[in-house]
Amino acid sequence: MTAMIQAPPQPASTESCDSAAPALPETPADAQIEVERLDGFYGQAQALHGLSLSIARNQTTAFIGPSGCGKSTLLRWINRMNDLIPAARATGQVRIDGQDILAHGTDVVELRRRVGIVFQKPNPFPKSVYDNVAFGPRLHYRLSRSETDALVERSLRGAALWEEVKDRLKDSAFGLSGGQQQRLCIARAIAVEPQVLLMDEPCSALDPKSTVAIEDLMAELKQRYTIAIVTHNMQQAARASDYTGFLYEGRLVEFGPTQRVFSSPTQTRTEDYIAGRFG
Amino acid sequence: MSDAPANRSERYDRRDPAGRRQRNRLFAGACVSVAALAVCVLVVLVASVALRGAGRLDLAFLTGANSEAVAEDAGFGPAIVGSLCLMMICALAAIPLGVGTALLLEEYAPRKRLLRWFHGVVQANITNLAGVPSIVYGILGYTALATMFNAVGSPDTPGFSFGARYVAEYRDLSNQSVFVGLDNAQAALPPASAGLAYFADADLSERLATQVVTAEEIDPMRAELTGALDGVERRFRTALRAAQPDGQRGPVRVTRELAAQIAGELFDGLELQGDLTAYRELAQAQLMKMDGLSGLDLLPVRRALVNDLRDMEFAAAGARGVLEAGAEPQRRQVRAWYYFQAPFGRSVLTGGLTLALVVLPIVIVSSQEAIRAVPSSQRDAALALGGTQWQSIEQVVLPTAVPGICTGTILAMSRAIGEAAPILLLAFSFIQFTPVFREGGSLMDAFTAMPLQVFQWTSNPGDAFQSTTAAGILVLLAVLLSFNAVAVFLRYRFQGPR
Repeated sequence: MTAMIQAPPQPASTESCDSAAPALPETPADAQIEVERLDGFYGQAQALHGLSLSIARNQTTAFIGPSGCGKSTLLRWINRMNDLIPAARATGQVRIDGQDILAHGTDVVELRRRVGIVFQKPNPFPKSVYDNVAFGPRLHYRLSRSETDALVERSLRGAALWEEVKDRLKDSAFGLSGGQQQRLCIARAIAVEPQVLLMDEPCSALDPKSTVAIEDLMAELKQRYTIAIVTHNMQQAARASDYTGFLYEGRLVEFGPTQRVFSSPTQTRTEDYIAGRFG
Repeated sequence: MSDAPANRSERYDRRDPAGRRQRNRLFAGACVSVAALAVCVLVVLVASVALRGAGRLDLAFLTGANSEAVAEDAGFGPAIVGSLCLMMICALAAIPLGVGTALLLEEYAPRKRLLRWFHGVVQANITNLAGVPSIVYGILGYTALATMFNAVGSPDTPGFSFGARYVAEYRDLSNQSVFVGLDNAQAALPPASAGLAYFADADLSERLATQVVTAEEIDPMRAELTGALDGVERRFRTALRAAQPDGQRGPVRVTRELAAQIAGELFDGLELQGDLTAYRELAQAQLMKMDGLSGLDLLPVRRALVNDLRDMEFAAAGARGVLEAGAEPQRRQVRAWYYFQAPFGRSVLTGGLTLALVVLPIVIVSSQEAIRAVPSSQRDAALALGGTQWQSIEQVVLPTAVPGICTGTILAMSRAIGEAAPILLLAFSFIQFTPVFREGGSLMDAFTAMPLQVFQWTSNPGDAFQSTTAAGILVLLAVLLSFNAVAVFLRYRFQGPR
């Protein structure tokens, strides 16, 4: 555990301190993802009502809100995982680096390579640790043995899991603990070198110790990836994110720098939710 | 703590505890006794079959050909081979088709409304098809596969075929076949006519087959043939006379030397295009049998040789008829092992495909269940990494679903191997040859199968076939049980503790 915390290289941790020190602007200056008037439906039921927001490049943006407020739906539209739900449809725009990915003719396979996602429940494949990590790259590239080896090691190191599993790469991933499995899933997601990493309540199925490990990992990962995380846990949002959006019944109630949202929310509903008066 | 139940029991009317337990025991007892009864009946049944059939269960039975008339000669070989062939075809057709259909239904669920409706209709139909009586599949197989609605010719004169060539077949006077146009015409000739290896001349055979032999060619050939026969006849008489001392009639003493001499001289100096060695050896062997037996009449030898000569003459006469182009040759098909025709006829292929139709719904439904059992989080994971639908199927869904698919499929196969009804209209229970695995055999062969053979034996009148039937049932049971054993093994191997 302590090794984990010390693991981030020195320059990285100072950099994250620097970026946190000056107050962030209300709307991100360098937005990688721009959501504009996004309406989301499941059949007749509308789950998202005209969401507009920006997700900052190389920062962590958290979405909080009570169950069923649409935060996971929002996340799953960013890499079109909602395509898998037959009745789901959306209108509006989600632009990633200026390109509207909801438009017809978007290459969803390529989109998902660029925008990785980590799910709530760890879902490793019933394969070895090694094959789990190598799975994504092998989908896209023909890799030699040594290339794969290097990629697996780099990804596992990136997910702060290498030291724990380097001696059992050939063992089944199901033998890992829940927290290790989730970090394996993160390693698997970053192995295809995405630009954006979406995390859908990645810690809700984990114990506090594993949660800390993953939060530490997120702080490190945002150096290289834009991270959007959905969480039930307000402390987690406060600890681990730069921006926070509060969703309620499919509407974006408040969005801003995490520090500001938690210390002086402009909306009473945000204040009530943060204070634990509902939700 | 102890007050609570007391209070509750005062408040509510209590069920009689003794009665509750008694009814519980009663139900358990009823279940056990019914199950025991069923098992007893089964044990008695299997035991009686085993007792009756064990005596006939030998290698001759397992490999021998069927006999319709003599129970002791009736073998199970063609039926066993037939059933195994059916299984191979059935598996090769039903597994890819069934697993593919299951994947389509489970993994490629459509989004459009009309297609969704169609998807639902297909799904409902497949579930219902599993309940269709199998004789209906038999009729379907007969109509759609064996005759193909008579749309592309008939099974006897197929609209499309490959892997067969035709030879001309002539009937000689003894109604034996003479084949012309075959590469190995000599092998096709009846043994007694081996001396007439005349047609082994490939060039001539070829021309005979195509009916372009001219009259000028025929005459010298006929002359040579007749002369050759006369020569043999004459030599035989001479040899026979020489063997009879003093021109006497009656018993003659045949020595080894005499026999060898006669046999040796018999064909000496004959000049035929063909090879006479086989016939000479035959004649010599027949003569040699007489060696050492004094006082024996040479009549049997003469009769044998005369018979052979007559056969030769008949064959020659037939050939003469052929050469004079008077006789119409029959076109006879010679099939390669890969022979294929478009209306499949009542063939092994039709039978196997019909059985595939029977088990297809079972394969589909069990594969669907196995595929559905793969957690959707696994698919999501593959797709979220940028995998295509097919990559997710191939690398995640199928590997996880394969044990379940295997189990369902093997159970479906074991149903297919025991089915008699679907192939009732397609099989020939009286055939004596081994389908497919014989010379000239192909997937278009007529066939018989184990359940059908058993059915045919049972319907024979009298008790003669009882033990044969029992032996057949034992073999069928053994094959069935081994199929199921493989399924059980697979289930434990893959679905047990990981």
